[in-house]
Amino acid sequence: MHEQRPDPRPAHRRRRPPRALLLGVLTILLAGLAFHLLASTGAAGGPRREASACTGQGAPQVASIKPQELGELRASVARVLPERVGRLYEEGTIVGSSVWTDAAPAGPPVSRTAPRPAGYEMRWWAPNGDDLVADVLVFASPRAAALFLTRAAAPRCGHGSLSAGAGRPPQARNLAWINPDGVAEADVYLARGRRVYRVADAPAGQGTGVPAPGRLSGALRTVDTLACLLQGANCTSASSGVPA
Amino acid sequence: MSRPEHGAGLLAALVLAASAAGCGKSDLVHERDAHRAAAPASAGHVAARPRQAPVPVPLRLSFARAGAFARAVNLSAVDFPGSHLTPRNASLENQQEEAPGCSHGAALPLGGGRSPKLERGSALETESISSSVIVMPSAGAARSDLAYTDSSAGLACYSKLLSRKLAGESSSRVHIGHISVGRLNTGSPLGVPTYGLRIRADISAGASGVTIGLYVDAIAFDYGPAEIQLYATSFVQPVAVRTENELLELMLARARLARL
Repeated sequence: MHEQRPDPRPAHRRRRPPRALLLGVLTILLAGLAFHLLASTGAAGGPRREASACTGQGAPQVASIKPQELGELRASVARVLPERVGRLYEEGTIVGSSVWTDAAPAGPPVSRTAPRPAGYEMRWWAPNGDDLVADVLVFASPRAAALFLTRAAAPRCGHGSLSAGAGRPPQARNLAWINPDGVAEADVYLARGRRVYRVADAPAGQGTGVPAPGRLSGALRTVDTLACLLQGANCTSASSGVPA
Repeated sequence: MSRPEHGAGLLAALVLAASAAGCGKSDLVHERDAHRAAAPASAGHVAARPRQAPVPVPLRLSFARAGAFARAVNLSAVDFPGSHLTPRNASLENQQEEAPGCSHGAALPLGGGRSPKLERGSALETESISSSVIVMPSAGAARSDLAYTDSSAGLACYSKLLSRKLAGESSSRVHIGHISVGRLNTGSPLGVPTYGLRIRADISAGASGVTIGLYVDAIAFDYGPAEIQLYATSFVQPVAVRTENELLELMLARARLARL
């Protein structure tokens, strides 16, 4: 009589796995592989090393301020489009990453006393339909502000963006890029002490498809001119802007 | 854009006119809550509105609790960055004898309170915000009291009353021209029904002939027995819809945290 050898495996593993279970395991393995591939290339589909250029990750953070101090920040950017020339459509606090993400400014929080981020943004529709934005961001030190400007005005991820020194205000930098909404936008950044200001213009009438940042020369002249209305801009010369 | 010729003096007069128009429904109807007369039961068609979930009112409503709730909910200067407190127009607030006739509600308020008038900007950029909370005896009374904005007759009544008041503000320097009052389609920014009015008035300077628009938005929602109201006044263009919605959301959030 032939003696059957006992199976060394535990009893619960001896049964032959059903086909459905095998498929499930295979699905999980494939999902894991897909997750690994996505994680290694970044959520936006680009290389991971470009992620910080898309989101501002690692850039200095804005300081915190008392709620009562927001009014002065607001006043500093309200002067960019004075006397109701444009139609103000939203405003509120922002953080540093907002200049990359184009996140909408936040409204007042429930707490009347909680500290606020030391960043304020106002957005207008210009008479010609352009979408105009003015920001002020306050950092812990002038050095942090300068570092933020360097990061923010550097070429962005995605479609080819252009970065160059602005003709005015002095020490300002221009950036032409495609914002997260897929719209071509012209920015000017300038640092003054602990503050960084940004004025942005997304021109009206942009069609579908990939807009060309090189078409933004007019918008760059606009933001450079408007930035001269900021306190401490010290404009003295005409704008050259980023070459189209 | 051309500017008025007489600078600060003229604009001060315009702002005075703005403050006149800025007396919203709360100012007109509820300022003298103790002396309020019963209103007609019906003044026109009231549109059906979806009702929000019942608001728990675990304790008996009182004048003191209504006041505390109003203080918890009402706006303050930090909610409207860059604003400062400005005095209200006391003379106008004493001229509110006829206003109750515009409202459907017959119940008397138990209490409540108003925010200061919060003003920011200068010249044409001047805009002001204020809020009020009025606690009625019941949720039904609050809804009924606000429903006049859905009524053509209620709107006509309010328009007539407002025109009469603003006409009294005209002078040799400032003329208040055409005034329109209409429903403000606020959508449903809070997820709860809101009631809105927009008043637009043409204001001109006597000598210069410059005419600018004055916008007053009065938006309210009921929160159980409470009427929570926002007034936004601005020249040339209305206060941004998003700003108004954020302030309404803020007051709703505070109402939910406060104990009524």
